[in-house]
Amino acid sequence: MNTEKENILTQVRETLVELFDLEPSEVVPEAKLYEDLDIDSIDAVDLLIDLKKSTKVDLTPAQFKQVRTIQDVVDVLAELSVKA
Amino acid sequence: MMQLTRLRKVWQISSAAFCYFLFGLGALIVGIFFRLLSPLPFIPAAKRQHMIRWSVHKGCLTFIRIMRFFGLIRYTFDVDSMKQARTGHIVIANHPSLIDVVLLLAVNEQMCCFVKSAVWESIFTGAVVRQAGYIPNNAEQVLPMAAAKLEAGENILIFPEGTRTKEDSVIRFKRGAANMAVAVNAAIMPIVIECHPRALKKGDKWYDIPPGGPKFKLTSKNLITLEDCIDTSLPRPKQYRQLTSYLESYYERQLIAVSDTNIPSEK
Repeated sequence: MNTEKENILTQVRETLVELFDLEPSEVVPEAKLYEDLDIDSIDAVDLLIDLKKSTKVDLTPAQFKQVRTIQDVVDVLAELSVKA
Repeated sequence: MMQLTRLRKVWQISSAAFCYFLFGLGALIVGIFFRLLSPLPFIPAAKRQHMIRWSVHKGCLTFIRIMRFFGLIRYTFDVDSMKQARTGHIVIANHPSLIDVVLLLAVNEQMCCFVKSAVWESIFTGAVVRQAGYIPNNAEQVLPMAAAKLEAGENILIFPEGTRTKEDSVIRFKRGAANMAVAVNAAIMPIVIECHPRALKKGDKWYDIPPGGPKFKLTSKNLITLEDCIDTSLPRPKQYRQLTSYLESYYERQLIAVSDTNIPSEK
Protein backbone atom coordinates (compact mmCIF):
# COMPACT_ATOMS: atom_id res chain seq x y z
CA MET A 1 0.00 0.00 0.00
CA ASN A 2 1.49 3.35 -1.01
CA THR A 3 1.55 6.48 1.12
CA GLU A 4 -1.46 7.96 -0.56
CA LYS A 5 -3.56 4.93 0.27
CA GLU A 6 -2.14 4.90 3.79
CA ASN A 7 -3.36 8.45 4.21
CA ILE A 8 -6.79 7.57 2.89
CA LEU A 9 -6.95 4.58 5.23
CA THR A 10 -6.14 6.82 8.18
CA GLN A 11 -8.92 9.17 7.16
CA VAL A 12 -11.42 6.33 6.64
CA ARG A 13 -10.45 4.89 10.01
CA GLU A 14 -11.10 8.22 11.73
CA THR A 15 -14.49 8.52 10.07
CA LEU A 16 -15.54 4.98 10.99
CA VAL A 17 -14.43 5.32 14.60
CA GLU A 18 -16.33 8.59 14.83
CA LEU A 19 -19.53 7.31 13.20
CA PHE A 20 -19.83 3.74 14.40
CA ASP A 21 -18.14 3.59 17.81
CA LEU A 22 -15.50 1.19 16.49
CA GLU A 23 -12.01 0.65 17.89
CA PRO A 24 -9.30 1.99 15.55
CA SER A 25 -7.64 -1.45 15.67
CA GLU A 26 -10.75 -3.04 14.13
CA VAL A 27 -10.57 -0.88 11.02
CA VAL A 28 -8.02 -2.87 9.00
CA PRO A 29 -7.99 -3.21 5.18
CA GLU A 30 -9.29 -6.79 5.18
CA ALA A 31 -12.21 -6.09 7.56
CA LYS A 32 -15.60 -6.66 5.90
CA LEU A 33 -18.00 -3.76 6.43
CA TYR A 34 -21.11 -5.82 7.12
CA GLU A 35 -19.82 -9.07 8.59
CA ASP A 36 -16.96 -7.73 10.71
CA LEU A 37 -17.89 -4.13 11.44
CA ASP A 38 -21.69 -4.37 11.55
CA ILE A 39 -22.15 -1.56 9.02
CA ASP A 40 -25.38 -2.18 7.10
CA SER A 41 -26.82 -0.54 3.99
CA ILE A 42 -28.44 2.29 5.96
CA ASP A 43 -25.16 3.01 7.74
CA ALA A 44 -23.43 2.97 4.36
CA VAL A 45 -25.60 5.89 3.23
CA ASP A 46 -24.48 7.94 6.23
CA LEU A 47 -20.89 6.82 5.72
CA LEU A 48 -21.02 7.92 2.10
CA ILE A 49 -22.27 11.38 3.02
CA ASP A 50 -19.59 11.75 5.65
CA LEU A 51 -16.73 10.54 3.42
CA LYS A 52 -17.90 12.85 0.67
CA LYS A 53 -17.55 15.77 3.06
CA SER A 54 -14.24 14.76 4.64
CA THR A 55 -12.44 13.69 1.46
CA LYS A 56 -14.06 16.23 -0.85
CA VAL A 57 -14.33 13.45 -3.43
CA ASP A 58 -17.51 13.22 -5.44
CA LEU A 59 -18.76 9.82 -4.31
CA THR A 60 -21.97 8.35 -5.69
CA PRO A 61 -23.95 5.45 -4.26
CA ALA A 62 -23.30 3.50 -7.49
CA GLN A 63 -19.55 3.60 -6.90
CA PHE A 64 -20.10 2.30 -3.41
CA LYS A 65 -22.27 -0.59 -4.48
CA GLN A 66 -19.50 -3.15 -4.98
CA VAL A 67 -17.66 -2.18 -1.81
CA ARG A 68 -17.27 -5.05 0.68
CA THR A 69 -14.10 -4.39 2.67
CA ILE A 70 -12.18 -1.41 4.02
CA GLN A 71 -9.62 -2.05 1.26
CA ASP A 72 -12.41 -1.58 -1.32
CA VAL A 73 -13.37 1.75 0.28
CA VAL A 74 -9.76 2.93 0.16
CA ASP A 75 -9.38 1.82 -3.47
CA VAL A 76 -12.53 3.63 -4.60
CA LEU A 77 -11.45 6.83 -2.86
CA ALA A 78 -7.90 6.58 -4.22
CA GLU A 79 -9.14 6.09 -7.75
CA LEU A 80 -11.52 9.03 -7.52
CA SER A 81 -8.97 11.39 -6.00
CA VAL A 82 -6.58 10.61 -8.87
CA LYS A 83 -9.29 11.57 -11.33
CA ALA A 84 -10.16 14.72 -9.44
CA MET B 1 -58.79 -40.58 31.17
CA MET B 2 -56.24 -41.23 28.46
CA GLN B 3 -59.03 -41.23 25.91
CA LEU B 4 -60.50 -38.02 27.21
CA THR B 5 -57.14 -36.28 26.79
CA ARG B 6 -56.86 -37.61 23.28
CA LEU B 7 -60.38 -36.51 22.44
CA ARG B 8 -59.61 -33.05 23.76
CA LYS B 9 -56.47 -32.94 21.61
CA VAL B 10 -58.42 -33.93 18.48
CA TRP B 11 -61.04 -31.27 19.24
CA GLN B 12 -58.32 -28.68 19.74
CA ILE B 13 -56.53 -29.53 16.49
CA SER B 14 -59.75 -29.50 14.46
CA SER B 15 -60.88 -26.20 15.91
CA ALA B 16 -57.44 -24.66 15.30
CA ALA B 17 -57.51 -25.92 11.70
CA PHE B 18 -60.97 -24.44 11.28
CA CYS B 19 -59.83 -21.06 12.66
CA TYR B 20 -56.79 -20.83 10.40
CA PHE B 21 -58.91 -21.89 7.45
CA LEU B 22 -61.37 -19.09 8.24
CA PHE B 23 -58.46 -16.67 8.51
CA GLY B 24 -57.18 -17.56 5.04
CA LEU B 25 -60.65 -17.47 3.58
CA GLY B 26 -61.43 -14.13 5.21
CA ALA B 27 -58.21 -12.58 3.90
CA LEU B 28 -58.94 -13.92 0.43
CA ILE B 29 -62.50 -12.58 0.38
CA VAL B 30 -61.48 -9.10 1.59
CA GLY B 31 -58.68 -9.07 -0.99
CA ILE B 32 -60.97 -10.06 -3.85
CA PHE B 33 -63.75 -7.75 -2.74
CA PHE B 34 -61.50 -4.68 -2.88
CA ARG B 35 -59.92 -5.81 -6.14
CA LEU B 36 -63.40 -5.89 -7.64
CA LEU B 37 -64.14 -2.44 -6.22
CA SER B 38 -60.92 -0.97 -7.57
CA PRO B 39 -62.18 -0.01 -11.06
CA LEU B 40 -64.77 2.23 -9.43
CA PRO B 41 -63.50 5.78 -9.93
CA PHE B 42 -65.41 7.50 -7.16
CA ILE B 43 -63.46 6.02 -4.24
CA PRO B 44 -60.22 7.98 -3.67
CA ALA B 45 -57.10 5.90 -2.98
CA ALA B 46 -56.74 7.15 0.59
CA LYS B 47 -60.35 6.28 1.35
CA ARG B 48 -59.88 2.81 -0.15
CA GLN B 49 -56.81 2.13 1.95
CA HIS B 50 -58.70 3.33 5.02
CA MET B 51 -61.55 0.92 4.24
CA ILE B 52 -59.21 -2.01 3.65
CA ARG B 53 -57.30 -1.43 6.88
CA TRP B 54 -60.58 -1.15 8.73
CA SER B 55 -61.63 -4.52 7.26
CA VAL B 56 -58.31 -6.07 8.24
CA HIS B 57 -58.78 -4.74 11.77
CA LYS B 58 -62.32 -6.13 12.06
CA GLY B 59 -61.20 -9.42 10.50
CA CYS B 60 -58.41 -9.84 13.02
CA LEU B 61 -60.73 -8.95 15.88
CA THR B 62 -63.20 -11.57 14.67
CA PHE B 63 -60.43 -14.14 14.29
CA ILE B 64 -59.16 -13.76 17.86
CA ARG B 65 -62.73 -13.85 19.20
CA ILE B 66 -63.34 -17.14 17.40
CA MET B 67 -60.02 -18.49 18.70
CA ARG B 68 -61.06 -17.50 22.20
CA PHE B 69 -64.50 -19.06 21.71
CA PHE B 70 -62.85 -22.40 20.93
CA GLY B 71 -60.57 -22.07 23.97
CA LEU B 72 -57.46 -21.81 21.82
CA ILE B 73 -56.26 -18.50 23.24
CA ARG B 74 -57.08 -16.09 26.05
CA TYR B 75 -56.26 -12.40 25.97
CA THR B 76 -56.48 -9.10 27.75
CA PHE B 77 -55.61 -5.67 26.37
CA ASP B 78 -54.38 -2.63 28.22
CA VAL B 79 -53.58 -0.29 25.36
CA ASP B 80 -55.11 3.08 26.21
CA SER B 81 -51.78 4.92 25.98
CA MET B 82 -51.40 3.68 22.40
CA LYS B 83 -54.87 4.80 21.39
CA GLN B 84 -54.27 8.24 22.84
CA ALA B 85 -50.75 8.71 21.43
CA ARG B 86 -50.26 11.28 18.69
CA THR B 87 -50.08 9.69 15.28
CA GLY B 88 -47.03 9.17 13.10
CA HIS B 89 -45.44 6.91 15.71
CA ILE B 90 -43.67 3.58 15.43
CA VAL B 91 -45.32 0.73 17.30
CA ILE B 92 -42.73 -1.75 18.53
CA ALA B 93 -43.32 -5.02 20.35
CA ASN B 94 -41.53 -8.12 21.48
CA HIS B 95 -42.52 -11.10 19.39
CA PRO B 96 -43.38 -14.25 21.38
CA SER B 97 -45.88 -15.86 19.02
CA LEU B 98 -47.25 -16.40 15.54
CA ILE B 99 -50.38 -14.36 16.21
CA ASP B 100 -48.81 -11.21 17.73
CA VAL B 101 -49.46 -9.23 14.56
CA VAL B 102 -53.10 -10.35 14.55
CA LEU B 103 -53.55 -9.24 18.15
CA LEU B 104 -51.95 -5.87 17.38
CA LEU B 105 -54.09 -5.34 14.27
CA ALA B 106 -57.13 -6.22 16.38
CA VAL B 107 -56.43 -3.26 18.66
CA ASN B 108 -55.35 -0.82 15.93
CA GLU B 109 -57.92 0.30 13.42
CA GLN B 110 -55.47 1.96 11.04
CA MET B 111 -51.93 0.69 11.28
CA CYS B 112 -49.31 0.01 8.66
CA CYS B 113 -47.02 -2.99 8.99
CA PHE B 114 -44.13 -4.74 7.29
CA VAL B 115 -44.94 -7.89 5.41
CA LYS B 116 -42.55 -10.74 4.76
CA SER B 117 -42.42 -12.19 1.27
CA ALA B 118 -44.22 -15.42 2.24
CA VAL B 119 -47.29 -13.35 3.17
CA TRP B 120 -46.85 -10.84 0.31
CA GLU B 121 -46.77 -13.67 -2.26
CA SER B 122 -49.44 -15.88 -0.64
CA ILE B 123 -52.61 -16.41 -2.64
CA PHE B 124 -54.68 -15.96 0.52
CA THR B 125 -53.10 -12.84 1.99
CA GLY B 126 -51.26 -11.29 -0.99
CA ALA B 127 -54.12 -9.24 -2.39
CA VAL B 128 -55.22 -7.76 0.91
CA VAL B 129 -51.75 -6.79 2.17
CA ARG B 130 -50.86 -5.14 -1.14
CA GLN B 131 -54.07 -3.11 -1.25
CA ALA B 132 -53.77 -2.17 2.42
CA GLY B 133 -50.60 -0.22 1.60
CA TYR B 134 -48.35 -2.34 3.81
CA ILE B 135 -44.61 -2.40 3.15
CA PRO B 136 -42.93 -5.51 1.71
CA ASN B 137 -39.86 -5.96 3.92
CA ASN B 138 -37.63 -7.03 1.05
CA ALA B 139 -38.25 -3.89 -1.01
CA GLU B 140 -35.20 -1.90 -2.05
CA GLN B 141 -36.50 1.36 -0.62
CA VAL B 142 -38.00 0.13 2.67
CA LEU B 143 -36.69 3.02 4.75
CA PRO B 144 -37.82 5.89 2.48
CA MET B 145 -41.23 4.22 2.09
CA ALA B 146 -41.65 3.88 5.83
CA ALA B 147 -40.37 7.41 6.45
CA ALA B 148 -42.92 8.87 4.01
CA LYS B 149 -45.77 7.03 5.72
CA LEU B 150 -44.69 8.16 9.17
CA GLU B 151 -44.46 11.74 8.00
CA ALA B 152 -47.94 11.45 6.54
CA GLY B 153 -49.15 10.54 10.04
CA GLU B 154 -49.47 6.77 9.72
CA ASN B 155 -48.45 4.52 12.58
CA ILE B 156 -46.16 1.66 11.60
CA LEU B 157 -45.71 -1.61 13.43
CA ILE B 158 -42.31 -3.26 13.54
CA PHE B 159 -41.00 -6.17 15.57
CA PRO B 160 -37.42 -5.01 16.14
CA GLU B 161 -36.23 -8.56 16.77
CA GLY B 162 -36.99 -9.32 13.12
CA THR B 163 -38.20 -12.79 14.07
CA ARG B 164 -40.03 -14.41 16.95
CA THR B 165 -38.46 -14.22 20.42
CA LYS B 166 -36.65 -17.39 21.45
CA GLU B 167 -36.24 -16.72 25.16
CA ASP B 168 -37.82 -13.84 27.04
CA SER B 169 -34.61 -13.15 28.90
CA VAL B 170 -32.57 -12.56 25.74
CA ILE B 171 -33.79 -9.66 23.61
CA ARG B 172 -31.74 -8.79 20.52
CA PHE B 173 -33.04 -6.01 18.29
CA LYS B 174 -32.07 -5.26 14.73
CA ARG B 175 -31.61 -1.59 13.91
CA GLY B 176 -34.56 -1.15 11.53
CA ALA B 177 -36.87 0.46 14.09
CA ALA B 178 -34.14 2.88 15.18
CA ASN B 179 -33.29 3.68 11.53
CA MET B 180 -36.90 4.73 10.95
CA ALA B 181 -37.25 6.65 14.19
CA VAL B 182 -34.06 8.64 13.63
CA ALA B 183 -34.83 9.29 9.96
CA VAL B 184 -38.00 11.23 10.71
CA ASN B 185 -37.65 11.86 14.45
CA ALA B 186 -40.69 9.67 15.09
CA ALA B 187 -41.84 8.75 18.58
CA ILE B 188 -41.95 5.10 19.64
CA MET B 189 -44.92 3.36 21.22
CA PRO B 190 -43.68 0.26 23.05
CA ILE B 191 -46.04 -2.66 23.52
CA VAL B 192 -45.19 -5.53 25.82
CA ILE B 193 -46.71 -8.84 24.79
CA GLU B 194 -46.92 -11.49 27.45
CA CYS B 195 -47.70 -15.05 26.46
CA HIS B 196 -48.09 -17.69 29.18
CA PRO B 197 -47.34 -20.46 28.75
CA ARG B 198 -45.19 -19.80 25.69
CA ALA B 199 -46.86 -21.24 22.57
CA LEU B 200 -46.78 -20.72 18.80
CA LYS B 201 -43.08 -19.92 18.99
CA LYS B 202 -40.82 -20.14 15.97
CA GLY B 203 -40.64 -23.83 15.14
CA ASP B 204 -43.77 -24.75 17.14
CA LYS B 205 -46.59 -26.37 15.20
CA TRP B 206 -49.69 -24.24 14.78
CA TYR B 207 -51.82 -26.97 16.33
CA ASP B 208 -49.56 -27.51 19.34
CA ILE B 209 -51.58 -25.52 21.83
CA PRO B 210 -51.42 -25.90 25.62
CA PRO B 211 -54.71 -26.89 27.34
CA GLY B 212 -56.96 -23.86 27.82
CA GLY B 213 -54.82 -21.91 25.36
CA PRO B 214 -51.93 -19.53 25.98
CA LYS B 215 -52.87 -16.38 27.85
CA PHE B 216 -51.89 -13.18 26.05
CA LYS B 217 -51.64 -9.79 27.61
CA LEU B 218 -50.86 -6.69 25.55
CA THR B 219 -49.79 -3.61 27.48
CA SER B 220 -48.92 -0.29 25.88
CA LYS B 221 -46.39 1.84 27.72
CA ASN B 222 -45.64 5.56 27.59
CA LEU B 223 -44.67 7.03 24.26
CA ILE B 224 -40.88 7.35 23.95
CA THR B 225 -39.49 10.37 22.16
CA LEU B 226 -35.93 10.35 20.87
CA GLU B 227 -34.91 13.29 23.02
CA ASP B 228 -35.83 11.21 26.08
CA CYS B 229 -33.31 8.49 25.45
CA ILE B 230 -30.53 9.48 23.08
CA ASP B 231 -28.33 12.42 22.13
CA THR B 232 -29.89 13.54 18.87
CA SER B 233 -26.92 15.76 17.99
CA LEU B 234 -24.67 12.72 17.42
CA PRO B 235 -23.98 11.37 13.92
CA ARG B 236 -26.93 9.24 12.82
CA PRO B 237 -25.17 5.85 12.88
CA LYS B 238 -24.40 6.44 16.56
CA GLN B 239 -28.01 7.38 17.22
CA TYR B 240 -29.20 4.13 15.55
CA ARG B 241 -26.94 2.13 17.82
CA GLN B 242 -27.73 4.03 21.01
CA LEU B 243 -31.45 3.86 20.42
CA THR B 244 -31.34 0.16 19.59
CA SER B 245 -29.47 -0.71 22.75
CA TYR B 246 -31.73 1.59 24.79
CA LEU B 247 -34.79 -0.25 23.47
CA GLU B 248 -33.22 -3.66 24.05
CA SER B 249 -32.55 -2.95 27.69
CA TYR B 250 -35.97 -1.31 28.00
CA TYR B 251 -37.61 -4.58 26.87
CA GLU B 252 -35.35 -6.76 28.98
CA ARG B 253 -36.40 -4.74 32.02
CA GLN B 254 -40.09 -4.89 31.09
CA LEU B 255 -40.02 -8.63 30.49
CA ILE B 256 -38.15 -9.36 33.71
CA ALA B 257 -40.75 -7.27 35.56
CA VAL B 258 -43.68 -9.20 34.08
CA SER B 259 -42.05 -12.62 34.55
CA ASP B 260 -41.56 -11.77 38.25
CA THR B 261 -45.24 -11.00 38.60
CA ASN B 262 -46.26 -14.11 36.67
CA ILE B 263 -44.34 -16.71 38.65
CA PRO B 264 -46.32 -16.51 41.91
CA SER B 265 -49.70 -16.60 40.17
CA GLU B 266 -48.79 -19.80 38.32
CA LYS B 267 -47.94 -21.72 41.51
